[in-house]
Amino acid sequence: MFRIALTNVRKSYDNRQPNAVNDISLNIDSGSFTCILGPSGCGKSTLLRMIAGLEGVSDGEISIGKKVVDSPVKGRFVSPEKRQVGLVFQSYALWPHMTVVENIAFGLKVQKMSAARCRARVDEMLAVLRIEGLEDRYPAELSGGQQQRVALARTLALSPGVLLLDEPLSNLDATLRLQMRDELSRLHRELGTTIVFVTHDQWEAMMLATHIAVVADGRLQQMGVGTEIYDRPANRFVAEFIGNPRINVFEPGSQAAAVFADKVQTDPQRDAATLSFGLRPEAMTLHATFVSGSIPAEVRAVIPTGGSWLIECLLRGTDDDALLVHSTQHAPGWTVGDTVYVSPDLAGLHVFDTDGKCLERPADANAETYARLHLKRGHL
Amino acid sequence: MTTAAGKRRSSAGWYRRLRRQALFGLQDPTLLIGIGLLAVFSWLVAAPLIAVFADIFTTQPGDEARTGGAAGEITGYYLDRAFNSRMSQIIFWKPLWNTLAVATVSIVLALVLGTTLAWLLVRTDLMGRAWLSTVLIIPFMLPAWTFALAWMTLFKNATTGGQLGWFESMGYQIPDWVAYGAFPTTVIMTLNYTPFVIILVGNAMQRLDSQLEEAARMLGAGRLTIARRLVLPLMRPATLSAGLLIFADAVGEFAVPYVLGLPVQFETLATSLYRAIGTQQNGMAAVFAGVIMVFGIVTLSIDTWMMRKTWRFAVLGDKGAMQRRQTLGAMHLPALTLALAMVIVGIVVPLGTLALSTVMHIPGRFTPDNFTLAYWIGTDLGTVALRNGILLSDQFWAAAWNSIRIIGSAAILAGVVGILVGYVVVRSPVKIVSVALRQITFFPYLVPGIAFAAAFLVLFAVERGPIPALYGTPWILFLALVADQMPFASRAGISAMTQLGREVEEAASMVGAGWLRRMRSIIFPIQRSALAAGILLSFISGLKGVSLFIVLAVPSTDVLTTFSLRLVDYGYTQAANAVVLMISIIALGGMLLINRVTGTGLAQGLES
Ligand SMILES: Nc1ncnc2c1ncn2[C@@H]1O[C@H](COP(=O)(O)OP(=O)(O)O)[C@@H](O)[C@H]1O
Ligand SMILES: [Mg+2]
Repeated sequence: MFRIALTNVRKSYDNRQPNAVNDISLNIDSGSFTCILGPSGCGKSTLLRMIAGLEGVSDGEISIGKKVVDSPVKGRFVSPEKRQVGLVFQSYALWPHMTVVENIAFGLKVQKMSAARCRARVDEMLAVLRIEGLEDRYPAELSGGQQQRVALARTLALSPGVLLLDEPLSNLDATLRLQMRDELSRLHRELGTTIVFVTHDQWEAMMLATHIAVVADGRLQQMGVGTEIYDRPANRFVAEFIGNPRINVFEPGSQAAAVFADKVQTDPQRDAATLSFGLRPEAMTLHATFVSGSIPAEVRAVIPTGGSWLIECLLRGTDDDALLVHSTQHAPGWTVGDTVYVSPDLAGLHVFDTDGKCLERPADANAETYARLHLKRGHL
Repeated sequence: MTTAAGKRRSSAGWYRRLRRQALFGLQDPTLLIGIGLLAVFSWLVAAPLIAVFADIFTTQPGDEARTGGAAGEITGYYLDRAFNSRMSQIIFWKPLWNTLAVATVSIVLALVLGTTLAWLLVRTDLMGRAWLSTVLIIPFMLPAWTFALAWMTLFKNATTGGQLGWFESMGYQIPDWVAYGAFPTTVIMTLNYTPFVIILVGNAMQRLDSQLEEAARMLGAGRLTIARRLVLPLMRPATLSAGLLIFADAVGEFAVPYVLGLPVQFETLATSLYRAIGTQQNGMAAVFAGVIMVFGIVTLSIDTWMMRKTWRFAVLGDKGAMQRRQTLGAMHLPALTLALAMVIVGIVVPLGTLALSTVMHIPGRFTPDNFTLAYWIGTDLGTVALRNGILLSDQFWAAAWNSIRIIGSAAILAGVVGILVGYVVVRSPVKIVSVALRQITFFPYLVPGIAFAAAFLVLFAVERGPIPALYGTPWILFLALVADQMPFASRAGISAMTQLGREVEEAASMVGAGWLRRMRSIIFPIQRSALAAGILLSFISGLKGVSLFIVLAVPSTDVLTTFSLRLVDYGYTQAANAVVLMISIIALGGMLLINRVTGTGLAQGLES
């Protein structure tokens, strides 16, 4: 059970630009279940491999527990096996020429554990991961889910203080994913190990993690607890990356943005035309008749997605015919061509400046005060 | 003051960074191993070749009077003597012409035959093609001079001493040009190279999607147009590449012209080289070796260059591209006849002749009383040197044991080092080490065996630095064999390691397995079938090779090949043939074993 601290970590493969990981500082609490979330190729695996010690950092420092494990400036490097870190690879990387038992026992044998204790530990692992009965199978004879359990068992057998998982659910089918999610949550509860996993799938991140760090282009975008990154994205990237269907974004200068900007109370220095606006699809209500503050729109498509519906509207009175997507749990009464009046829900409205940074809410602010801060009172 | 402090700090930082780099590097000795391997191969491959080229230009001991300089001094004498003296015509230009003529004609013939057969096997409904495609590549696994001996057994005439061939003893007159020299050498080299063309071109054809042809046909192209405009151009790279690879090999071919050329003073570069070594003319030997090497290097550079250029388009799709076979129709019978003729001429007749000859007292006389097993298991044969049948002779078993001991251990080492080379080439964090290692291990392929052996002799015959003189010990053979097998072994290792993701090894690092442990418990066990195939392939090619042994072996390191060649020299035809048959049987057995181990067979081993 260790905390992990990354300080200004940069990684460039063979001094190539751009950096795979760019100046990331991150604290991972002891015993937490942290997810590193980001699109493919953003440097997630690189980050995990650096924590594991399979790659060295180009700059910066990594410490695990109280120990600095990698720091060029301090001249330190602790090799992977001395970090008390376990890594489960995305491909599982089971040893194809060893049976399940041999796979799990290998690390114990390398650590010179006696045969009897080794056997006991293997049995324990088989039980914890519920893979009894597969002892003598070879990896090629196992299903994907079973392989993953073996890979986990192999890693957990050495009781690592930190468990690193690279895309743990992405190779599994839908049923197995749910099963494995419960399994991982259970393991986290039972073992209390610090778990860090990476994924490109926000659904996995939301379902599993207590803490989520969003990474893009090798940079940390936001670190948040629970649904924080959804409710209060730090910037446009996070707002757009998290959430399915995607958040509606109105570009600065567009007429649709002007519709919102018109209602925004900003500090006088800020030019409203430079702001962009994000509105979560569920954060609005559609009315059949005009209500105060609503924006007229025309229904262009009604798309059932099983249990919920997406309604695509074109905002009226904008030349560029901005598209607005609304999602709802209730069967909509609209058909294509209908005119609706959209009332934005303040909790789901985000305002971004030119750099894409989300205009901040005060620490104690709830949705309403945030809206008051930025929107002209009375217009909505 | 401040700058001095800053400097001190930054130099301390520099030291710390270096220390961390060392700590980081220590856990993964790949680079160190790579550099070690590079050093070893510089010594085993690069140094001998450099030594040969140096010898061309330095006065050899004993030649002081001729070159007019002290031993070790620079001289142009050898080059001058070879290229531009009264003797040049005989010494150099004639053998060169012979070499090129034989190589060129046999390559053209092999390409025509091989391409035709490959097409029949891959793209038509030829009867029995599965069986034929196995049988037709057998000659490739046999030593080339097996055929030379079979030829002699059949066609030898009275020009030289010893037993007559079958035809002469049946009363036919065989002219010299049929029995010896350029003609039989060309025929035999053609037979020996045809399977190689079948393999290379056949593989390329397998990748050529037949939908391409069909598409052309849909557009109204006739059969001939398709063949001329589509198939031929697409096959050209593979065919040319096969031709070049064969050419590099053919220029250095030694055993066939040696066996068949001697009686009529038919010399090639390789036999001239051998003669120069035999008569202690080291300077001239270096010239011949150098010329053969230059041919090898130039042809293979051309090949590499062509493969790199636009020619690559030939590799269309993957194996298992759409294959629709053409119906041969009326052409079926002639096609089948051709294939069967190839089987008969290339396999049945030579092996049959050899086998029969070993159980007959007098060649070519098929009467019951002429048959005997004496040459295999007889005693007191009344001959001078070999008094017992082969299987009862100590010399045979000693040679067999030597073969297995020397070639076997070299093959094992080559196989293991091949995997290690593959490991470094794929994993090395420093690109240049990986590139250099790949090239240097492939380099012996550019150098025909006889030239390589000569190079080894130059470098290791005398004590150099800490290395004692190795000539006369099994070590020189052993090292030469290992180096000579590296092209195959390292290619096999590289392709095996390319397919193994590094995470499998990293997973072992994570649980604390050190490098040696990872090699022992993870990498080598996973690669065991690639390793076995590499070892067997090296063993077989070492077994059937002649060139290295004839130059580097001495009586105490007699192996099966040199033993049988000596028997040829003595004129003990039956015994020589019996030994060659044994070699062939071992080679074939090994091939079958490879097929078993890898499940894919010969074609793949040659492809990579
Ligand atoms: N061994 C490597 N050598 C060079 N570049 C690499 C290597 N591994 C990853 N990269 C590059 O680093 C970036 C981040 O890769 P990675 O960490 O694997 O991303 P992710 O896991 O988020 O998909 C990518 O652009 C990738 O191409
Ligand atoms: Mg990844």
